[in-house]
Amino acid sequence: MKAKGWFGRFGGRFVPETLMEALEELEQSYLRLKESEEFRRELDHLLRTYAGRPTPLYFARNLTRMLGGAKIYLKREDLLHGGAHKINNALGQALLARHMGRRRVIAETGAGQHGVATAMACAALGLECRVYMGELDARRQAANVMRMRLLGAEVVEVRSGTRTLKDAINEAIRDWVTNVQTTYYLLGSCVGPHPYPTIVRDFQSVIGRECREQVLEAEGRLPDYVIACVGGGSNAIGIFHPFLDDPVRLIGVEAGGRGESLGEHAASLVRGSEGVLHGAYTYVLQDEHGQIADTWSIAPGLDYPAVGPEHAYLKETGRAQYVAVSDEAALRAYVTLARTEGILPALEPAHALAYAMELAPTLRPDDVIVVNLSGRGDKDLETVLGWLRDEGAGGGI
Amino acid sequence: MRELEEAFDRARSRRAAAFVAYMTGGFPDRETSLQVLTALAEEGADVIEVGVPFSDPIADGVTIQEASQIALSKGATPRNVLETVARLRRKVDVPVVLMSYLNVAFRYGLQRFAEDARSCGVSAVIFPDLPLEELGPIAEVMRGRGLGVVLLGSPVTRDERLVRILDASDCFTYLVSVTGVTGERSEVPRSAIDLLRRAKSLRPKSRVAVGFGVSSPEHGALLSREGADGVVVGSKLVSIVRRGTLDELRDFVREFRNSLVRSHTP
Repeated sequence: MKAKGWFGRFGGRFVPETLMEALEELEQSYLRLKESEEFRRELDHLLRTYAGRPTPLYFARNLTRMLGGAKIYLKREDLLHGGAHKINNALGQALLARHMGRRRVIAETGAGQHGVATAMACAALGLECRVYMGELDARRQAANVMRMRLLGAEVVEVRSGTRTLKDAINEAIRDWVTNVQTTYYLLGSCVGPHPYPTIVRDFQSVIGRECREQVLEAEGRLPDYVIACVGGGSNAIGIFHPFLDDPVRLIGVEAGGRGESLGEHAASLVRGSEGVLHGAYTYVLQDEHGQIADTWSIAPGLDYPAVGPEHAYLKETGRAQYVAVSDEAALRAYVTLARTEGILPALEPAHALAYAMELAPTLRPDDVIVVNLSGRGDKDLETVLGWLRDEGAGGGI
Repeated sequence: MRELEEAFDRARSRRAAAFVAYMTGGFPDRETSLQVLTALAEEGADVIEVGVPFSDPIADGVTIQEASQIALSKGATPRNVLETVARLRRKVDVPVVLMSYLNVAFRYGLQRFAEDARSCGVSAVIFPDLPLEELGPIAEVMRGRGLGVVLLGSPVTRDERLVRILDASDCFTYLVSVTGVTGERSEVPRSAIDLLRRAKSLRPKSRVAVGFGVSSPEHGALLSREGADGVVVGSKLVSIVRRGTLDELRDFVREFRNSLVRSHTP
């Protein structure tokens, strides 16, 4: 018999023995609280009054007209407090930590979005917060480091390995192994050992639940496509999950980066192979000897060499489809949405948007696409402006 | 697996804990690696634990992380680490335990990994990221090829679970002295002694080796006196290889081995 915490052949708990009791305790506490009326009320209240839920579903009329195909709707997670969907999970888990009596919270962050969301949630709930961030990422995202510090978090720059997100997770796990009796590890994506992929998916599913109702109200029917970007995959699993039993096509868009060879992209599902990273059996980017590869993406939030195990399962069963979109296409989509709708999307969901823009013209005008606009793009201004300068594109795309 | 059990039993018959000496494979480079491993064995390590370098070693502290990076940059692969083990075994009669993160073994192919490890003279494997819950299918492959699987117990492991680990582990159980990662420490923590005593009272006949943070002959003497059947030294040896000479390594190994002999008077 298979142990619990598996999605088909994917998932599991591949961690040092020291963490096993902690994972067990986390699961038991979570299962108990999930059923608690009080916990749900508390979280719901925070999501509404603090995070800004529900977020609107916006019909992108100009973009739709420009592309001349299917209708494109945007689920506006970019309007949440902190500017990304990350706050849904951060609030849920911070509340969980408080109920478990843990006053010290640790987290990892790549681009800084999850770090900022965790710092906010901890400040709001009166918890001590330490965020691990790769030294390279900290340099690239200096503004987020400052935000986290202002929010009262201690930011620890990680100098090991590739000095990016995967090393920040390694370091957070090492901290957790050391301080397991006092510390709550607030993991930011649907990756890692069981029960994290399930907990994060549950807290992010609010996106899909709202979206399903909103699209039914706007269109009187379910959408034909739901499209979301996938790094670890939390915004995608959040919007996909409530549609799993519906006749809706689910498409996850990975970071195709700047090339197809190892190290030039972060497309674990499209170009990776099976393996274990950070406690889960899933798809990873690795060399022939099983060493984890470097990754590249213009979108720092997608720059991760593995993916949530539930996505690996959805790929294997064929319930969701996964594709990769290049840096360049994402940048183009960013600028296009800014011009047509007056919205700056983060470069992460700009990948999802780029795929939707390719797909829409091939569909009928009464087809409906929903894109999860998981974050806002202010953080990416410098990258985008730099690209526009190099392109010599300036004004005209 | 016999040879591993016999190494523990020989140590016991000279009233000592077995000295399990850890070293990252392919470190500091492929050729020197064989000299280092040979020196450990010649100076009296009872068991050699060879680590297969991995890019993301979550159970290891800075010393072994850096050694792994250096080994990888010098071209270490699972295959050539195993070849070094085979060469070591042809030179010296010492049992070898292989420490590997799971991803490396999965990528290699579990069956082939087990077959090649066995044919290179490995007695047992330690996967630091393989807990009891996920053990079944993996242990089946290893044991089917004649390899033991050594499990780890931790200070936060409860009695009921510790018993299951002690019973499921082959040859010996690796007791982790602290909640934390590998790395040198100034003293043996209370948690190590507590865990050792719990294990010994739960299963007096199970062999246990204590590791993580064991850095000096004094630590070795204390753990041996407390009834450890084996003592693992890792980071300390790695940092001697990194910063010192082979002679310093030999001196330390000799001294450490002597510290494990229990004196006649209490």
